[in-house]
Amino acid sequence: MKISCYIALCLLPVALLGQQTLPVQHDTLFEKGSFKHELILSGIADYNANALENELMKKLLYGGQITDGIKNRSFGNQRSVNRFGADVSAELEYRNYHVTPFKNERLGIVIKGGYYNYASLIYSKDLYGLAFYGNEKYLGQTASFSGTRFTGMSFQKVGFGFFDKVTKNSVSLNVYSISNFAEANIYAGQLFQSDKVDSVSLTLNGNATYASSNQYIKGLGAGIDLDFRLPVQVSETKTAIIRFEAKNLGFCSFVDKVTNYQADSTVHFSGYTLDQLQQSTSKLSLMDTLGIHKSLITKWRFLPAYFQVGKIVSDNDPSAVQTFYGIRMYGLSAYAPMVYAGLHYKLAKWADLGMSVMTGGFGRLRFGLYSNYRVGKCTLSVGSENVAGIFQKSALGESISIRLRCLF
Amino acid sequence: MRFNFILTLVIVLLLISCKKEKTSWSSNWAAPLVSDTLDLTDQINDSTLAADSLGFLNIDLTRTVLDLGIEDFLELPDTTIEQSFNSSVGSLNVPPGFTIVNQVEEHTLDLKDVQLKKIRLTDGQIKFTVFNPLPTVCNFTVKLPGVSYNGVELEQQFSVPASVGSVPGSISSTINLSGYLIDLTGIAGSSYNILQSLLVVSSDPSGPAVTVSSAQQFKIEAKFQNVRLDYARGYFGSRVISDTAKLDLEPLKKIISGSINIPAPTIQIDIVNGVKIGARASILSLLNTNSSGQTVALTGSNLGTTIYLNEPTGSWGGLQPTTTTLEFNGTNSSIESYLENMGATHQLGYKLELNPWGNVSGGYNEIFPDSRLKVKVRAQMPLSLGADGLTLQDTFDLDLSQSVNKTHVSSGSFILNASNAFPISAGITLFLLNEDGTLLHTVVGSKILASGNSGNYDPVSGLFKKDSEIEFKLAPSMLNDVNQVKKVVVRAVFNTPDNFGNNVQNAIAAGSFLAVKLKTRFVLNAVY
Repeated sequence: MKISCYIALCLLPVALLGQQTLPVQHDTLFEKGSFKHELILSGIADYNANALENELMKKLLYGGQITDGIKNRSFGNQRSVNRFGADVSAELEYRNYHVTPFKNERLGIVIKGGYYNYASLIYSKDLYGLAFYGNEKYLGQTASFSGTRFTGMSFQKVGFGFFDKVTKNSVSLNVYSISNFAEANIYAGQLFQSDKVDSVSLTLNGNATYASSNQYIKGLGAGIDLDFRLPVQVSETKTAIIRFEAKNLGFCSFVDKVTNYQADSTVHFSGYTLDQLQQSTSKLSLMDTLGIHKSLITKWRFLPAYFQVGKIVSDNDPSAVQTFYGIRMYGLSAYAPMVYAGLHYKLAKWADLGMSVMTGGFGRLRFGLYSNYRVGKCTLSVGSENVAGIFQKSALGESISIRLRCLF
Repeated sequence: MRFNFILTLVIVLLLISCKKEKTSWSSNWAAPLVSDTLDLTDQINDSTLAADSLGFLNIDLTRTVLDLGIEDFLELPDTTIEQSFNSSVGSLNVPPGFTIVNQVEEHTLDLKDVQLKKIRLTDGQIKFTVFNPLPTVCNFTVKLPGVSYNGVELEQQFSVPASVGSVPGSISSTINLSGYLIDLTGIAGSSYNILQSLLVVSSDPSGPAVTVSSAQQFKIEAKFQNVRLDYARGYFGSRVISDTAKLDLEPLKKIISGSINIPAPTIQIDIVNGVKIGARASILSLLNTNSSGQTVALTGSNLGTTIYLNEPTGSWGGLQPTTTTLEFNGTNSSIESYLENMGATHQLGYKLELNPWGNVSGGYNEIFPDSRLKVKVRAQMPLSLGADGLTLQDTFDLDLSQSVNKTHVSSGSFILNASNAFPISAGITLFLLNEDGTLLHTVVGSKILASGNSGNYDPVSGLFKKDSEIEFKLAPSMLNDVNQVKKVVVRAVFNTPDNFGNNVQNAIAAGSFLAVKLKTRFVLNAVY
C-alpha cells in the first residue's frame, strides 16, 4: 500500500521533470518531416534529508504513529545543523517543429506549463528534539534553534518560447501564479528551562512570513527557462554534449500584503502573578509575552530557480555505454550544490538502463537507477535518485521521477 | 493510445487506493504558570493590620459606613428673583443722563424650615436679564447688596438697547458665582433667607430727551442656577436621618462550611461630628448573614442607647471634629459569636437626629467646607485564628476545546510547589463541571498544603515554614471531556493544627507568607 501511495503521489503531478538525471533523448539529427510535434510529460517526487530516516519521514508524509523508537533512531542521526527538502513537481512541454517563427527554418515554438511544490528546511538537532520530545528533555539546559530557515512554496507556470530544432537549445518566457508561500528565519533562537520548571527564557530573533490571502492566486511572477546545449569535442570521433539548464529564473510579487511575524527579544517567564491572573485572562496575550509583533507587509521574492550544468547522454552517440555527470543547484537555502555522475547503458533497441551516484542537495551520498522504454515514437523513462529509499527504512529520503516523451 | 489509456487507468486506481492516515506523535512539555508570594504586606500598609511588640499581627480595621457633608444637609434650589419699576407719574419728559430708577428690594428664598444667614458658594452661576421699555438706550446698574467676592459687592452695568414697538430692549449676562459669599440677613441685618437687589436706571447721557410713562416697566431678572454651597450659617432645620448601612465582605461569601475560633474581639462605632449643630444618635441594630444564610444579630447594652454628639470646635481650616464612641466587646455584647458567624453581609441600623430640640442656638448652626458627619466601624483584635475544616470555595469559568483528531493534550498534571509560613494547612480539590453544573471529574491534590507550624524554623525570616509539593493529575479521561468543562470549582479546606493534629488558635506573625509556584507538565499529542 505504501508503495502504491508513493507511486500515486509521484504521479499526481502527471509529469516528471527532465531536469533530473533521466536522459532527455538528446538528438540533433532532426529530419524534417519525420515528426511535427513533441510532447514531454515529466515529473518528480523527491524528498531528502541528511538526518531523517525514511521510517520517520514516511510517517510524516503518509501518516501513522511515530513511536519513540522511530524518533530515537532519527535523533541519533542528527548533526548540529541538518537539512530537509522536498520537490514535488510536474511539467508538460509541447514543441512544435512544423511552424517557422521569424521565417527561420531551424526555430520551433515551445509551450509549457507546470506545477511546482518546494519545501526547504535547515534546522538544529535541538529543534528536532523540541519538536519530537518536547522541552522536558531539555530541563536545566538550553535548546538552541538558531539558524533555522524554512521555505515552502507552491506555484504554477505557463510559458511560451522558441527552440532550435537541431541543437535543442531553447528559451521560454514564463508567467507564474503563486498559490502557497511560507517562510521563516530564526537568526537567534534559544530556549532555556530550569531543571525545576520554575522559569523559562526564550531568546528569539527572527521573522516568519506567510501569504494569508484567501485567494487561490496569492502572487504573480515572471521568469525564464533556458536550455543551452554545447557540443564539446572530446576525441577525434566523440563529441560530448554539455547542457546548461536554468528553470524558473525569475521573481514574484504577492497580490495582497503578506502576514509577517517579527521578534527580537529575550523573554524570561517564571509564571504570572495572581494579580495578573485576576485581570481578564484575555489580556494575557502569548504573542505579547513572547515579544512577537504581527504586521502586514508588501513582499516580493525570487523564485526557487533550478540550475543544472552537466554532460548528458546523446542519442547520436553509437556507444553502448555513455557517461553523464554534472552539478545541480536550487535557489533554496537547504539545498547544497549536488554533484552527480553516472553510466548509461543501451540494453536493447527498445530499452536503456542507467545508474548514478550523487552527493549534496538536501541529503547525503546516494545512488540512482533509471530505465528507458521505447514504444514506437514514445519513450517512457522511470527512475529514482535514491534507490535505497525504496528498500531501506533507514534511508534518508525517497525519490522517483518519470518522463514520457512522444513524437507525432 | 492504448498505452496512454492503461497509464491513466493505473494512476486513477493508485490514487483511489491511497488513503492517508493521521500522523501523530507525543512529546512532553513543562512550563511555569504562576509564581507569586501571598503575604499581608498590603494590608499592613493600609493600616488594616498592625504588628504588635511581639511581632504578631493585630487586626486594626476601620471602615466608614456613613459620610455626610454639606451637600447632604443643605440644598439651595434654582431661584429667580425679579425687580421691576413703573413710574408713578403718568408721563414725564426726561433729559439725557437723568436717573429714572434707584430702588432696593428684598427677596425671600423658600427654604422651608431652614433659616440661612450666610452662605458661601462653591459652584453655580447667576444669569441677569434686564428689560428697557424706552425707545432710547438706557443704562442699567444692577447690584446685589450682600453678595460679594473678596469684599466687593456684585455689580453689573448694562447699556440696554431701545425698545422696538411694544417689545422692550433686553440684554443678558451670566456670572460664575464660585467663591461668592452671600449675606442673607436682609437690609436690617437681622433676618434670614433674604436676597437684596438694587436697580439704578438712567437715560442715555448722549441720547435725546425721552418721555417716561407709568405704563412702561423697567425690569431685571436674576436666575440663580446649579448653586452649591461649601459654607453655611443659620438654622439648618430639624431632621432625622435613619437608615441601614450595608457592608459586604466578599471573601467571606466563599466560605461554605467549617468554623473559626477568634480571640476576644472589640468593635467600636465612632460617630465623628464636624458640623456645628445640636445632634444625637443611636445604633439600632447590627447583624450579619453568612454564606449559608444564617443571620446573627449583635446584642448588647449599647444598642438603642441615645448618645449626644458634641459640636466641633474651631472654624474653617482649624475645625476640630468631635468623636463619640460606642464600644462592643465580649463583656457588654455578643460580639464574639457575632464575628464567628463569618458573616459576609453586615447591616448597621442607625438613627441621627439633627437639631432635635429645634432652633435653640439662635440660628447659629454652622457647617464648613471640611465638615463631615461620619459613622465608622473599627475592629481591633489579635490576628489569631483557629480554623476547623473552614472551607472556602470559588468557581471559575473555563472554556477550553481540543480535538483528538488535531494536536491535543492527552494527559498531564499541575504541580504546586508551596512554601508556607502561615500556621494554616489547606487541602485543595478541583471539581470540573459541565455547563449545567453537573460534576464531570474530581481532581484531588496529592497532598495537603502543610501548615508552617509543622516545618522548620528559618532563622533568616524568623518564621516556621514548610515546603509542600502537591500534584493535581489530569487523567486522559478528564482531558477527553475537556470540551464539556465549563466551570472549575476550587475548594480549599483550612485547618490550624498543632503538632498533635488538633486545631488550635494560632497567632499569625508579621511577615508570614505563602510562596507558590504552579507549573504544568503535559503530554502533547501532535496530530495532523
